[in-house]
Amino acid sequence: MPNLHIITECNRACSYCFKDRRPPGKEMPVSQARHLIDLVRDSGMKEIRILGGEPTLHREFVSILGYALDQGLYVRVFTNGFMPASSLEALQKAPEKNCRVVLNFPIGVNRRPDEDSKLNRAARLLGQKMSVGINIYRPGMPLEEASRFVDQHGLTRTIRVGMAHPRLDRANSFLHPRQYHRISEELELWLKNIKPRNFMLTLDCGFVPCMFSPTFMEMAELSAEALGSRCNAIPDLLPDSTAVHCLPLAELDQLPIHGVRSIQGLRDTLQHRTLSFRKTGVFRECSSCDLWHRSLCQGGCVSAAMLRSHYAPKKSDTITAALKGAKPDAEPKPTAWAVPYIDQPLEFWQALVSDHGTAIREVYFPISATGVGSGRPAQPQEHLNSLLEAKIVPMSVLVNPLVLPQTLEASAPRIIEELLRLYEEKGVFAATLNDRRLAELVRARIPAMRLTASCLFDIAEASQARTLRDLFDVLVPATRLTRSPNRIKTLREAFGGTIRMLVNEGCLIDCLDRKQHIYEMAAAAAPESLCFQRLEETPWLRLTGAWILPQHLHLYNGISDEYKLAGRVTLRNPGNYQSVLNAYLNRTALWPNQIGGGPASVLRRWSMSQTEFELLLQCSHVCADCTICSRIAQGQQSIESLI
Amino acid sequence: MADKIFQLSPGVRWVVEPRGVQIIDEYSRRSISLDHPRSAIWELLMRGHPEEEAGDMLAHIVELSEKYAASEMQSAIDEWINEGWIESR
Repeated sequence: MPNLHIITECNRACSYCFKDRRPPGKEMPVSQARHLIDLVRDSGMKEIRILGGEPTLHREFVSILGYALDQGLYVRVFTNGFMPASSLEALQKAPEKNCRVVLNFPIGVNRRPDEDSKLNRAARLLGQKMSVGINIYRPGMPLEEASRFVDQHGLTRTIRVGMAHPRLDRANSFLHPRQYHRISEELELWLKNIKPRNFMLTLDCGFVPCMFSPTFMEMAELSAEALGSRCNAIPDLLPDSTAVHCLPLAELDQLPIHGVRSIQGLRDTLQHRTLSFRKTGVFRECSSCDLWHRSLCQGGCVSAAMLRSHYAPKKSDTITAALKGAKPDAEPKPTAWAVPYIDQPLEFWQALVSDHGTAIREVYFPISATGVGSGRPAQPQEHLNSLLEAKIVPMSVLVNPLVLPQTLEASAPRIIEELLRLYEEKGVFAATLNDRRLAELVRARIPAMRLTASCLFDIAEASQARTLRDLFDVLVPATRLTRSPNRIKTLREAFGGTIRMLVNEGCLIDCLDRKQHIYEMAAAAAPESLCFQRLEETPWLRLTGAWILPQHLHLYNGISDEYKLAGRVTLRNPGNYQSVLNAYLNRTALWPNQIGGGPASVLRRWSMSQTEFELLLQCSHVCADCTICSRIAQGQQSIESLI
Repeated sequence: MADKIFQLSPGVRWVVEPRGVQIIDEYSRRSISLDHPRSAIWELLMRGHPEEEAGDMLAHIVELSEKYAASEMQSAIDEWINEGWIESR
């Protein structure tokens, strides 16, 4: 049954927890939760499990629970018991035949009296609706605490037992397979004591039959086959709209959920992509074991089996800490976005402002009256004037052709006159320029105008950034630095002002044809792409483009102050525009081919896990000497056909 | 013979199994199984022995002529580099 993780925040900090390390506090939007609940129902499944973080902390937990129940699904909520009163009340009122609560009971930890009191209250109110689950992460844990708690509160007498599996990066406390036999002895002893009192144990994934004695298997009413085949794609559906095989393997794959038609398809895809990992078991003896050869056992948890593997430790931990700067745990600042004007009626923009409010720092459009523009093909502007008149959203103007079409002396007066008109009459408060001398003239005439240095300056060095620091307020670095956050950090220090990163450009980082491409595009004589042939020959190069997916934007916390969405052309469809913008603002997941962008954009559904993306952030970007992206691409081939 | 040292390519893991070595690439999801003597070559190289030293050890371990061992070693290294399993350190 799928696990719906509706929030990453938790009010406990269990060392064995295998949730990922993304910033806390991320809530799944209710609309997304409902969509996924519908998907589970439409996939013919009867049960859904709601988890977190601590799911009851979700501000709309009651609504999500109610919706799942209304769909006729059997709902199982996994909680640590420290839940808000409103959530507890909703669980209390939920019909017992359709809703169960599993209390992840913290054994072997010291609890304060007030914590005990909260657990006791939850258990007292939920009674038989609640069962207890424990996670074993070391030998010698006081298992009897769990059965005592059940006795004390009259809870369901079936106790779920889970083993704390290692994350693939081994970042949590976990049970090592060499400890399995000791754990089995402890479980057997415990079960012998409690079974006469009508207790039963259910074992979660990852246990292997060979760790238990026949006596235990009989007492627990288990067969080898039932126990040995429990490591499968669940899948876990995460708040950022990605799905993973399971939390311990989350680093391996994070597939966007958008466009998925069935949970089964998603599960098959994730399962398929772990096949190469299933050629080994948790013990060295697995591959010569009779149960293995008779397919009665898969060799336990895939992630635990990988503990036997040798590997070059990833630098992702180091790089992530470095990327986050001096305050790695600091909350990211509210993000400001510059978004493109597309020719839509006022209602479209009103809705956008209503949805996103102050997150929209500016809507940019090309200057038109001067014959200069942005240097790109002209786009329709039928509704632009009404948007300017309405003044419902901050507007900025682009004056960034590749080169000015005339000398500065000839073109500057017309440009400045138009900028002044837009500033004074329409309230256009900002301009993006890519000519330093023009910027000096604008600054002298309209000192209050916010000036942004266009990415067409191609600023990649600190020395360049310093030359602009007293002239511009905002700097958009060269897009070839998009995958080099440490270099952007250096620019940020040198520039001293606001850094705005373009998130969905798509151009190849090592492109040598960009200026000519933009020139030919403006002259309406452009082929579709000057890099077409190169990309035909080496399609994996598209993975190297200057783009960041919304789900990976948090890696730039502390590096970029603002973001810019490109897409006056590629996102001109309003529905597409809204969905991409929503994803970026809410940091929900998109496939690379959904974000718009330039000619080298990804065209297919290629998944890019956080681990893979982090690896690209630390690479040297010398694609000719590297095989990483090509190998990542090889691993993608079957995705589209399976989902 | 160049005295090179090799290391795993990013994303590659390897596991010792009773009958050889299993190698897995996290990114491309490929895997290969190596039997003797290639599994021995792999282990020697991945445990940090320089190519030349590993060749001498291999000749000793598998009782091959040094020339034949060196040839096997070179062939395996070329193949693994070409397929992206290892890279020169």
